Amino acid sequence: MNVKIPRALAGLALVTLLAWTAGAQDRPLTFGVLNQQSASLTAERWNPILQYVSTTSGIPLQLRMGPTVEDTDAMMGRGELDFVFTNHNFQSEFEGVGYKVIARWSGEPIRGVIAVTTDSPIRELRQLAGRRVAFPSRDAFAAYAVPLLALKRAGVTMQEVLAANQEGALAQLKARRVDAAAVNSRFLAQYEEREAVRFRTIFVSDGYPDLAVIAHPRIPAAVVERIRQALVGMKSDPAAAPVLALARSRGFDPATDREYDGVRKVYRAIGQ
Amino acid sequence: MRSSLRALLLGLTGLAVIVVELAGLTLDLTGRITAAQQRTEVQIQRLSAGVAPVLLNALVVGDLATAEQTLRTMNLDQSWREVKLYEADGEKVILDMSPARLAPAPAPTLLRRILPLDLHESRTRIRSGGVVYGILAITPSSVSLENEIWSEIRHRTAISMLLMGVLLGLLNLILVRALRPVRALGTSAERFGAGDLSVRMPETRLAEIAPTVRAFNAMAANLERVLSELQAKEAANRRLGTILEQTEEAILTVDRETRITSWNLGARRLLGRTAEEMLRRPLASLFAEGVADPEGMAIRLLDTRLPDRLETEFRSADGSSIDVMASGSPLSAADGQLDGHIIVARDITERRRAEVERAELESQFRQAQKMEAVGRLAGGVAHDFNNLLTVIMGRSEFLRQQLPANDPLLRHVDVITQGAQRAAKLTGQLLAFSRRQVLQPKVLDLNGVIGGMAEMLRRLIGENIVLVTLPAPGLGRVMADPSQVEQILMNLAVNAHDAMPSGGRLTLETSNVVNDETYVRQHMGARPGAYVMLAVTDTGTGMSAETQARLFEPFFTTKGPGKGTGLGLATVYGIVKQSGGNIWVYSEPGHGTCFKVYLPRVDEATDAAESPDAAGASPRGHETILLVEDEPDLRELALEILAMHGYVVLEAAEAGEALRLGDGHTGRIDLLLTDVIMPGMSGRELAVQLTARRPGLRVLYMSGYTADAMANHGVLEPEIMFLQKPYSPAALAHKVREVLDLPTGEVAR
Repeated sequence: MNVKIPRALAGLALVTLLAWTAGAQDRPLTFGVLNQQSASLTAERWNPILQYVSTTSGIPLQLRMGPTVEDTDAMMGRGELDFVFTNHNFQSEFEGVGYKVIARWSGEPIRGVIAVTTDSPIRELRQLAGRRVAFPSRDAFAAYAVPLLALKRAGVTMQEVLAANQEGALAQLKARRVDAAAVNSRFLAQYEEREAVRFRTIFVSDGYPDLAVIAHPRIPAAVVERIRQALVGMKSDPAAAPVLALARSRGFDPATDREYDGVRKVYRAIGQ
Repeated sequence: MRSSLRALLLGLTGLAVIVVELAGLTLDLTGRITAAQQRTEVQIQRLSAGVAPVLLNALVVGDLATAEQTLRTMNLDQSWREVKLYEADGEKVILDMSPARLAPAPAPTLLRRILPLDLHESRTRIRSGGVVYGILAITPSSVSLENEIWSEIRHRTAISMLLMGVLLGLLNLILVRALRPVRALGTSAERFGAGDLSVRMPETRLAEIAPTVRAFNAMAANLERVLSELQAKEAANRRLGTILEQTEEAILTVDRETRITSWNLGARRLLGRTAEEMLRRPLASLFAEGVADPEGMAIRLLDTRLPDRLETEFRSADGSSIDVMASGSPLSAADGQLDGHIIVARDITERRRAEVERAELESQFRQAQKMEAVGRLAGGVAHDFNNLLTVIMGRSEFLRQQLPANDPLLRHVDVITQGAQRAAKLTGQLLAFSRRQVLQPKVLDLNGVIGGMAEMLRRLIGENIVLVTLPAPGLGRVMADPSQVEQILMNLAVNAHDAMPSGGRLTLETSNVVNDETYVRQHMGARPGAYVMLAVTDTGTGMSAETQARLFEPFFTTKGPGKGTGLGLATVYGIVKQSGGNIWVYSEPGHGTCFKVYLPRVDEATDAAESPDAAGASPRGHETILLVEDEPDLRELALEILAMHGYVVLEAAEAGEALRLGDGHTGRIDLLLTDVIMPGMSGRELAVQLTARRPGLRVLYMSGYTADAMANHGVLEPEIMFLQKPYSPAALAHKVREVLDLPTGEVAR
C-alpha cells in the first residue's frame, strides 16, 4: 500500500509535469530576478542561466522583473512570478504569498558593509553621525537593512541617501557626494575590481546566506524539483561553466527556508 | 542656316562645362548620397547602440512607457522617417514612433526621381544573454539629405554658372581676338571673291592663324597672278576674237568633215553671206562656179600650210567670183587630235587691180622716161638750131636791107627767110615738147581763153564738126603762158579734126577737180591738189592702146605722109608738163577720144591782158652795151645789129672776158646783153658779178632755151628780161630799147 501511494503520486506528478510541459510550449514559466543591477545587466547574466536551466530541465523559463525593486517585489507579491531570485520574500509583508526556497546563490555568506573613501577621516560608525550615507534602496537587505540595523545599534543618526542600487551608491561615494556608502561585501569587491578603485570599510556585518531561488506554491513540485536540480547541477556541469562565469556566479546550492531565518530577524528588527 | 564658330565653340564649351559639371555634380552627389547613407547607418548604429541598453532595460522589465519615451525622444527632430520596435520575430510591432507627417522637402520631385535618395531601414536587435527582446527598426528620413543635396545642387549650380560665365567670357574674349584674323580672312576672301584681287591679310602673331594668313596671302597672290594672266589671256583672246571678227580677212573654221563651224565678219563682208547661212555647209560650196573640182580644191586648201597660199576664186552671195588668196591650217583639240581646220582667205581683187595699175604706171613711167630722153635730144638740137637760125635769119635780114628792092636776089633771100622761120617754128615746137621753151605765165581763166578762141577754132575744124563748149561756172584760175594754152587748144582741135574726117562733135569742157591720193596712185606723175580740168573730146575714130602708148612721142603720127609733123601732141604734152600739169587720154577705137588737161589751180586774180608790141621801125640808141656770146657768128651778128642801131658795143666771148672787159672799161656800161648758156660761168652768174661792180647796170638775157640757172623749169621770174632765140634784128633792137627804157625801179639784174 505504501508502495502504491508513492507510485500513484509519482504518476500524478508525471501527468502534471507533462501537462505543464505541454502548456509551457505556449507560455514559459516566469523567473523573476531582484533588481540588484540594471535590467540589461541582469538580463545579460541571467538569460544564459535561464536558457541553460530551460534546456537542461526541459522547462522553459523567461526572465521577468519590474522596473524597480518595488515593482519586482509587487509582482512577487501578486504571485505573478513562478520563480524568483530574491530575499525580499523574507520581509513580513510577503509571508502570506507562500514562496518556498529551493536553492540559493552559491558562495560565501553575504555581508553588509559600510565603505568610505580611502582618504576619508571616518574610521568608525559614530563618525557617520550627521553625515550623508548612500544606500541602494530601502528594499536592500545586506546593503540597507543590515547596515541600518548596525547604525541604529550604534546610535548613529545620519542623512540617508538612496542611490537606487549599489552601483549608484558606490558611484556617489566615488564622486564624494556622500561620506559613506552601504553595499554588500560581494558587490563591493566586484566594483573595486571593475572600477579599479579602492574603498575602506568601516563596518562589516555577520554573514548571511545569499539570495535564494524561491518557487511559487502553484508550481508543481516536479517542475520545481527539475528546476532546482538544473540549478544545483550547474556547478558540476562543465557546459554551465561559461554561463556561470558570465554571471560571475559559483552556481547554486540546495537551500531551505529555515536557512533564512536570520534574514527574517533583521527585517523584523528594522520593521520590515 | 549659318552658324558661328564662336557661337559653336562657346556653345560646345558651355555644354562641355555643363556636362562636366553635371558629371562632377552627379559623382559628388552620388558620393554624398553614399556617404550620407553610410553616415546614416553609422548614426543609426550609434543611436541603436545608445538606446539599445535603455530599450533593453525597458523591455526586460516590460516598461513600454520608457521604451516609447525613449523612441519618441530620439526622433524629436524627425530625422527618421520610421522608428519601429518589433517583437523578437521582427513582424509584430511593439511600438511605432514614426512621425505622422514629415516636413516637406524643398527639393523638386524630379530630383527624388533622378537621385536614389531613399535611405534603407536599419534594424538592430535588442538582445541580452542570448535572448532577443525586440528589434529596433529605423528608417532614415531623406528630407535632410534632400535638403543637403538640393542645397549642394544650388550651390554648385551657382558656382558652376559663375565659373561658366567667367570661362565663357574669357573664352569669348580669346575667340574674339583669335577669330578676328579669321573674320578678317573671311572679309578678305569675300572682297577677293568680289574682284578686289589686291586684298592681302595683315600678318598676325597668332601661331594658329599665321600659317593660314600666309597661305591665304600666297593663294591671293597666286590667284591674282593667275587671274591677271587669265584676264590678260582673256583680253588677248577678246582682242584676238575682235581681230578675227573685224579683220578684213575671211576667217572660218571647218570640222573634220570639212563642214563650216565658224564664220567671221570678214567672211561675211567678203562673200556677203551670214554665218547662219554658211554654218554646217561644206567648204567646197565656197568656191566659184568656174573652179574645177571644188571638193579637190577644198582638200588642197586644207593641206595648204602658211606661208604657202592658194589663189582661187570664191563665190559671193550675188554669184560673182571673188579672187581670193587662202590658206588652211589644222586645228588641234586639247588631246592633240585633229579637230578641224581654220581657213583664212583674203580678197585679192584690189591687189590684182593694183598690179594692173602698177603695170600701167610702169608703162607710163617708161613712156615718161622715153619722152624725157626725146625731149632732151630735141632740146639740144633746138638750141643749136636756134643759134644757127638766128644767124641765118639775121644775115638774111641784112641782105634784104642791103639789096635793092627790085633785085632778083631778094626772092632767094625771102626763101631763106621763110625756111628759117619754118625751122624756127619747128624748133620752137621741139623746145615746147622738151619743155625748154621760155614761158611767161600769167593768171588765166580757161573759160575766157576758150571763149576767145571759139570762133577761130570753129573755122579751123570746119562746118561738119560741131564745137560744143561747156565752161564750168566758178572755174578756178591757172598760172600759164596764154600763148601756150592757145597752142594746146589749137593742137588738140587739129588732132580732133583729123580724127573726125566725116564730121562729129568736138566738146571743150572745163571743171574744177581735186586730185586725191587715189587718183595720184593711179596716174604716174600726178600730184594731189586742186586743178582746173580742160577736157577736149571728139567723137572720132578713137585710138588703139598701142597708138595711145606712143601718142605724145615727137614725130609719131598716124597721119599720112605730109599731113602732119608728129609734133602737135608732143608740143601739147611739153607745154602741159612745163606748166606743172598733166594730160591723159582716154580713147577706144570707134568711140572717140578724150584729152584731159589738168592745170594747177591758183587763188589769184586774172592778169590784165598785155597789148602786143607796137610794130614799127626798130628803135635806136647811143648807150654802151656789153655783149657776151660764145657763138662767134651770133656775137658778130648781134654786134652788127646793135651797132647799126647806134649803140656802143663791148663784146666778149665768155664771162671771164666780159668781167675783165668791164673792169677795164672806165666809161659807162648801160646794158649787159648776154647769152645764158656759156662755157664756164653762166650768163646769170656774170650778171650778178657785174651788177655788183656796176650798180645800175641793166641786163638782157638771150637764149634758145631755159636752164635752171636762168629760170625755174623754164618759167622766168617777171623781172627777168629775156630775148628768145632765134631773134630777128628788129626783135633785138626793140628788146634792147625796151630794157634800156624801163624805169629804174623795174630793172632787175
